[in-house]
Amino acid sequence: MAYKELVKDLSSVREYLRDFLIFGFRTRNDFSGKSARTYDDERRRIEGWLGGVLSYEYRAGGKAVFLSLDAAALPSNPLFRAFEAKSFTNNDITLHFFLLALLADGRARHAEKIQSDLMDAHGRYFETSTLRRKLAEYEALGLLAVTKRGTKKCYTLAPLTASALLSDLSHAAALLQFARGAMPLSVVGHFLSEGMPDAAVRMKHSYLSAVLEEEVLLALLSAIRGKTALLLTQQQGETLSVLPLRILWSTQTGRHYLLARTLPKRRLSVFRLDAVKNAAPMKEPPETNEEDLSLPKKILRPLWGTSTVYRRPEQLTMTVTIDENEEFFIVQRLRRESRGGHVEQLYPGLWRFTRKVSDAGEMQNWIKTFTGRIAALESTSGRTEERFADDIRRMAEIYGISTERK
Amino acid sequence: MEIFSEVYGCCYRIAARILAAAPITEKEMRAIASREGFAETALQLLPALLSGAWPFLTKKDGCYENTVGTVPERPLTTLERRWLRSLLADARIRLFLTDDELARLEGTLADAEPLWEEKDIHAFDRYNDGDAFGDPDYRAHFQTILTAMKEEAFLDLTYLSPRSGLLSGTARPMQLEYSARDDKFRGVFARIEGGVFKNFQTLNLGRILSVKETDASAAVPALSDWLRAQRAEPLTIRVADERNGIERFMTEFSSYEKKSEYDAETKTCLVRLWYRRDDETEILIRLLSFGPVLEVLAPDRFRTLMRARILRQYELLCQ
Repeated sequence: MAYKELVKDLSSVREYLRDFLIFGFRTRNDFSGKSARTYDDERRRIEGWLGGVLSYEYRAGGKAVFLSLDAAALPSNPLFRAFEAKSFTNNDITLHFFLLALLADGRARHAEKIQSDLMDAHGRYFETSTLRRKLAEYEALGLLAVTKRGTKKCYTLAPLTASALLSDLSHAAALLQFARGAMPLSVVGHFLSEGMPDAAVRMKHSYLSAVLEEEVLLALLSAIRGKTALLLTQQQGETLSVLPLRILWSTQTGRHYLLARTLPKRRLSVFRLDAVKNAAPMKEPPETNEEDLSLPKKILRPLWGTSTVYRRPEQLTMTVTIDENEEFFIVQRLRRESRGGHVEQLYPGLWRFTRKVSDAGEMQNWIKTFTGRIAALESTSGRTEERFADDIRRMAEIYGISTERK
Repeated sequence: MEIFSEVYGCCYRIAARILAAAPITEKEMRAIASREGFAETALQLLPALLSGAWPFLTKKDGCYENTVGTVPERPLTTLERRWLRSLLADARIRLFLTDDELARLEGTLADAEPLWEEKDIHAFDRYNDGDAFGDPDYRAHFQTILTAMKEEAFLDLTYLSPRSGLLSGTARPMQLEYSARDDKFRGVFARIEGGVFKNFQTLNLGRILSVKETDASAAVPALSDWLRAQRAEPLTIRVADERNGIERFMTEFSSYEKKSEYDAETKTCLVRLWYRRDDETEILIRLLSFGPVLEVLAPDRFRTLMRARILRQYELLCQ
């Protein structure tokens, strides 16, 4: 099939985009299971969309393609451009502009009138079914407003445009630049920002690849608002019925997760959004009740991250050495990062953090950020401190410390 | 509701521009398509327009005229209206709007249902000492800073520094930066003294006590040069695949400029990572959080910092 710059959907490209951005070391040979031609087409497409932000290096296995960007320096996420690449037919674009121009006079018209007016204006006949399909599509998109004249639907352009709404705001460009960097479904902010200048608003700790999950995120948020179940298809192909309850978002890794009840057992589960291929409404969603939609505090409160476990929460205690006079910022750090934990001074120079947590294993990475200060670590199961001690011994070996002490 | 739709696409946008600019030459059309499209957009778009496959233009006297008629601006889609409505409930968005602007937007978008509410999305690892976005003083300062940034104007500021106490001075806001993790805004300001540029400084907006417009002015150098100069020497890090280390590391550091190379024999990844000097302590503790899955190989200075913390911890462990 001849190469095309535009695509019907982003599913095939998503894997490559994520790989180029996050890993950036794979070459053509490393993409197993795909033909070389597929890799070449997708790479060519992505290069065309993203332009100069892609970098290349020739390695033993071939050419590695990667996105190497300081996200904090960017005025906008370059991956937004992928969302401008939907394919369309000649009829699609022709009807788009013909309808906009025709309905600009504000007169409400039914489908047959539109058909005859288009014939008069452009000498172009559109099949009734084609026209009705486009009108229905644009009604669903919200581009057309619909009124009824008797039994007939009459169409006008929806009244609100971006300029009417935004152009007299004092800081529209800055607002949208912030929103497309920090708010959910950020790519919509990109669509609305078109033509606006760079307002010098930047994002620190910004995870560009999260935008690749926004189609799924939109479906999940709609289901949460609508309190309805969905069919979730995983990347590996498994399909589950789930009742979405909440999105869990890590600001420190950029990952989004879905907290949902799997059906029919109604068990709480967490799904990483980058592992979800598709989320679609169910034809016959099951009945749900308030209990299904509830998230008991006894489940939520002990969560540190995203691990939903049904075993009894355990107590974690971490004692750290802090010079309050010179290092009070460490106390502040403990407090702001505690996620509901308790911080207290035991005596000058020694502080304690305690928290009940459903899975202390999730805290290992955070605990290690206090490396160099941890005087004591205790957990109910004993596993956390064992693992920590093991890790420190291994790190000491890696940096040649324990060798010296022999 | 779809996010991926041709109505948001660059081809529709370019076609609208061309129609609005008509009568237009082929060269001018090509320039628009090259500037706004993808690498090969002009190759698809121009033949479609010139051949009549998209029946929008007719050639006359070497130029192409619009045969569609005046094409109005595309209306906002339902998705766009609902997204804007969702923003208005957020205290951070209100920083960018006056009360009148907020009331007008709320009125105009009243019948658009929000796509999400705050309770639908839980940022479970966000720090809990974020800026007080709802505070009227914070909002007033923010809007004064936004206006000064837009107008390239200077402000008299007082600021409470955690190290130096109360500071005051005259500065021009150059850039605002938001961190989702910290839930804070910071600004890069060009400080002047006696009408002469002194230096660039990063200030937390939550620590600004007062902001006043001033007539002061001075020439200010390009911020981009200063930002580039803030970069530290890159780190060289070896990451093992143990505990899914490579994927975790690459994901967590995906917002940083880096180059990586995988060694299939040792199943490790060698990464060069660039970061800002101001962020060094943050990078250090984040690297420590990976434990024995990674090793900082260079520069020596940074490796020494890692080693010092691990040594202190090893000694605490042995006590």
